[in-house]
Amino acid sequence: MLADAGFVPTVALGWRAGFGNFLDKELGSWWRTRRWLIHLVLWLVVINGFVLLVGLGDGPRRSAAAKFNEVMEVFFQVGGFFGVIGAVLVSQGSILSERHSGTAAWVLTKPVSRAAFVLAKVVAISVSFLTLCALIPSLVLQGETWVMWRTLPYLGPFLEGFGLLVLHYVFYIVLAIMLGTLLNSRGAVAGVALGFWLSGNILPNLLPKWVLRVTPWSLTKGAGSLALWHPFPIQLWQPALATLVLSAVALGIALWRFEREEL
Amino acid sequence: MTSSPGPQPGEVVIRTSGLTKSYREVQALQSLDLEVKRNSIFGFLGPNGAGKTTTIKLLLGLARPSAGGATLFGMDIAHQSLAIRRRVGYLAQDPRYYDYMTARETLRFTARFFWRGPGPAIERRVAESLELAGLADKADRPIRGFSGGERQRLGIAQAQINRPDLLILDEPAASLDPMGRRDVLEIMGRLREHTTVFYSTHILDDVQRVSDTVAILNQGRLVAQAPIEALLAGSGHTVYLLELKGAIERARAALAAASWVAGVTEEQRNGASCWHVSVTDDAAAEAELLRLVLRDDGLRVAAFGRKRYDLEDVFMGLVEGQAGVGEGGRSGDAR
Repeated sequence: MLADAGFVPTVALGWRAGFGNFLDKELGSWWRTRRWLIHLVLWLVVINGFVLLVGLGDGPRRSAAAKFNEVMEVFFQVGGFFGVIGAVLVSQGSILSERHSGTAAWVLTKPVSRAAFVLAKVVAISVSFLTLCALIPSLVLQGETWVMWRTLPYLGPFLEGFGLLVLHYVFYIVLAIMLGTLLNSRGAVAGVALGFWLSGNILPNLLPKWVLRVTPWSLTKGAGSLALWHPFPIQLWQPALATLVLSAVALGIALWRFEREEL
Repeated sequence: MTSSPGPQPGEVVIRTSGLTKSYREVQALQSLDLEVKRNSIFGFLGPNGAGKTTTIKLLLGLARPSAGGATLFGMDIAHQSLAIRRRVGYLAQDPRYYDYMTARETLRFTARFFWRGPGPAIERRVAESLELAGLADKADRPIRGFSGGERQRLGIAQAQINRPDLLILDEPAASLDPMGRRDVLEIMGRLREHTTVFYSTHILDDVQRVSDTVAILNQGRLVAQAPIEALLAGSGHTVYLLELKGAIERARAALAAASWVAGVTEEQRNGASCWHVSVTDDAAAEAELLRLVLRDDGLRVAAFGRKRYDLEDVFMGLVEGQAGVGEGGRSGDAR
């Protein structure tokens, strides 16, 4: 490369080579296009719309406290249900489509690491999706409960429940990205990821209780209970820790596999 | 700016030794030994499936060799790929970019892999590259609306944005119309001043126009590597073409008696006899051949000249295994 007066060359080596540029590009695909707006509207309608319907619904006469509790449960259940589907759908093609289209082969001929390529996707999707599907709906939820009942959830328990919800999303984002490095079709990626999630609604009844402690399956149910200070049958730190470990393992597998990918 | 030193004069930029790649049962590339010298325009030829793209992918670290190895700028492709890629520009056969980006954003994105800043310098470089590729007027349009030719131009712009020491182009003109091809070849010629160009193609005309060195690959094997002039000169004896009208028997006998004539092949074309005279001594042939034939008053010479091979002759001869490329290809021009 010829010396170019005035240019400052990039210096990052190892896994960081190209990470900043990749991250900027990935965040740009969310925030410098209309994608953020589409997701924002979608999640506000789905999550906060549900909350509003439940809060304003003409059900049997109940106290404001009971309705408040119901709204909080609905928030975590609806978020946990539709949010996971959203997390898988936004992540399923992130690597796969680039492998198939040839854009991955193109950018990886630049002085970048493959780890940077994968990690930038994980970070950008996590940050963007969590902002649009968890953070903003949570803030809007505060506004909704304040407008309807002039009350707010207790911050500490709510943040703990919110943390579990976030962990739940992150796991499925990383899982779908990992599957995108292993499988060759979007259908297979979504099928395996969503199949794993759905089996969490069936298998725990057939399997020993300890399975709930080592999988993310109980997180969203536990998140609602935690936010409302309700007791939950298992210690939630156990599945939280297990989910964290499983996410790290999935990320490790994704990095290992993509490093060996022939493009 | 501090930058990696450029290649030295005469330096071998690409060297492969026994480079091999197999995919399960298929041998995509078999023990390739290649040398590409600095500032050459190196044409990498072969029919579809010959292993050209595989070679390029191996050089760029997109695939791993099954055996053998290669160096670029003296650096090993297996262990120093990142440093190599700082000095290389690459255009894929069917270039794909992020459709939501504009051409300017794509080039800015590419440039940021090489330079952190300053912003104005990067913007200048982006603008220069857009100008070079003839995309200045489409710079701020999303790529999703680009034609194949425009994508190809963008591909060249992004490949050279870091002013690489080596430009690797995989079929750079394949999807272009004749004007687009001409433009691409011109750009390659201009870039040659400070860059080595290694490009794969099956458009033989292009290779003959711009390349100085050629390698021909067939079924994963290197079948020829030489400066283009050497390749075009043929691999065997010099051949002269004669187009004769009239009685040819005496002339035929005279040539048969000449010690420097290795052989004569003959065909009839439009009422004339076309001779391909293969000679062992080019100087003797230059001095004697025409004179020898013209001794016969009843014979008229309609055309005479040294046979010039074109690359198609050589290519077809090598790829199809035709014998005696130097002794009569499929076509030739009489000077």
